[in-house]
Amino acid sequence: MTTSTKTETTRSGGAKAANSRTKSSGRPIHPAVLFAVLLAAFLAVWEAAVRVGLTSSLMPPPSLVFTELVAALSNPFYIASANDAGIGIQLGTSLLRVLIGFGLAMVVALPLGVFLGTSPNLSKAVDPFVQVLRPVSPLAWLPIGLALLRDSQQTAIFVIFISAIWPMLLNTIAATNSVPKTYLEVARTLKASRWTTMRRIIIPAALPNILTGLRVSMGVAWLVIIAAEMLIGGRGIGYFIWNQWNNLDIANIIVAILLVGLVGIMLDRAFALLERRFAYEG
Amino acid sequence: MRDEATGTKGKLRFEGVEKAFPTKDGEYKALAPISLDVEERQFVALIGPSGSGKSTVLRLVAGLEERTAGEITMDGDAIFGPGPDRGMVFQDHALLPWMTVKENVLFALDCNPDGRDKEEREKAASEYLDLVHLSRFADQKPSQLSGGMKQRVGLARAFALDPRVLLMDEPFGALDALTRGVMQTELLGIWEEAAKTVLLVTHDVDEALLLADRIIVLSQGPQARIKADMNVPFERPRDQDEILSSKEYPELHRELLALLREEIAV
Ligand SMILES: Nc1ncnc2c1ncn2[C@@H]1O[C@H](COP(=O)(O)OP(=O)(O)O)[C@@H](O)[C@H]1O
Ligand SMILES: [Mg+2]
Repeated sequence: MTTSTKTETTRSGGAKAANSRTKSSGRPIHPAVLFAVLLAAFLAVWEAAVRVGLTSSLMPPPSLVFTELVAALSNPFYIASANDAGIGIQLGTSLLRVLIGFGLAMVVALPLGVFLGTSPNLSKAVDPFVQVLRPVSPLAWLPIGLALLRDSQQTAIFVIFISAIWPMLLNTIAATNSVPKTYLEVARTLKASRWTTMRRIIIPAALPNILTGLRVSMGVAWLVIIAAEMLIGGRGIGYFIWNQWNNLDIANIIVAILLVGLVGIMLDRAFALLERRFAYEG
Repeated sequence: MRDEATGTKGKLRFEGVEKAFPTKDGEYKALAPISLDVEERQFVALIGPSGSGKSTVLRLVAGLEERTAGEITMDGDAIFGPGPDRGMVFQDHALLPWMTVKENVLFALDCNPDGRDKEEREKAASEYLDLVHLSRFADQKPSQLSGGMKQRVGLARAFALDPRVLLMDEPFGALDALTRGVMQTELLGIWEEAAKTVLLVTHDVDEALLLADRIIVLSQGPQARIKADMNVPFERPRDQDEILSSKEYPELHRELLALLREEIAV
């Protein structure tokens, strides 16, 4: 939960600092303009470095990356063979795995989290399990997934499931556990049934923090899928990147990285919107 | 009103009521055995130093706490747990921030439909909002309201179930003096119409004298007891200016302050 908010604050803090600096020098520059200038400078240095021969011969110039990007996006959804498919297909495959693993994690973590969050003793009893398992890299679960499931596709989903479950579980426990006592007393004085209390008090009170957990989980899942697919092979943007490395096609790796980043931003923004939708001022 | 059939209207009786809280260093006996009879439709103010157990008394009646000894009855029936026959106005208003003003009132009715369908409940919620002059704000969230308005929603929510007893824990304590005055007058008006038994916790002597028929002064805890039980002689309907300029007022005010000061001076 802290990771996303942290980047958020540093980002806005940085922007504020930049603003005050430019203001004090008397020439306000719009951040978008500044961004364009920085990007252009970066691309120019990169292009020059490649042309002059400062980099390894494998390193493509940005112009080539751009050409590859256009090519990839001009036909993103073709399927030629098992491994040879458009970038859209590769991204979509990864996204689908993430969504399935994430969805399964939600099905387990949300009810379990609400249950544990409303039973303090039980949640204390479960805590050691969570504390030990949570810091383990999800990739360590890959062999176990393979052993259990004997199927690489399902194993990828299993790894996503494992990596997505912790932040959402912990946040759901904490969120339901910290529902203000007065809200629960309101429910008691009104003789609200257990189900009504759950549906109209506990869940809406906890929802913003639960959604923060989901957002963090989604971020982790999208990070992990690349590594998992590199190991598992088959279709998917992770293996696509690995494959391009085998082909020594760095330009396409950079294209893939850009698109993975963009999809990641979109996923994060979607959850941020949900968070805002269900936020309340207590 | 609903309880007219049984003829009872919120008569409260405390018989040797004690409350002890378990703490790290053993039991904390908040209330000494307390016995008290509250007549139906009586407006009782509970006043006392902070920590004397005023909230505890209210929470015992609300059923949010369990007494450790003694008996509390309402109209002859022992109180066990909360119920819609007792309405609570919380100190910090305790509105549900994700619901609109109207939904907050409606929620009380949804939990206790009492045979009313959704449409009737909606109508009732609107009527109670009207009663506290907040119809215009029905679709706003509590965070958009001022402190006084929030407390009025709390009042509407408590009234919506037409309880026999209204429990109010320093409902206006957090408001500025001007708003508090307005709220007191408003409460006076609503209460004189509805005529329910009221237990009002307050630390404001003027508020107690303006609103209550009877003022109970609690002593400092532990084992707080009833230090004084005073009748307030002012006629109803009451008028704040008349009360303030009456010849009894300064004497009563002085007496109450002296009682409180004895408890606070250590
Ligand atoms: N849940 C609790 N656990 C332990 N002690 C409590 C609890 N609730 C109240 N008390 C204690 O009981 C005493 C009376 O509290 P309260 O009724 O809130 O006082 P008041 O409302 O008059 O300020 C206080 O000393 C308080 O610390
Ligand atoms: Mg109190």
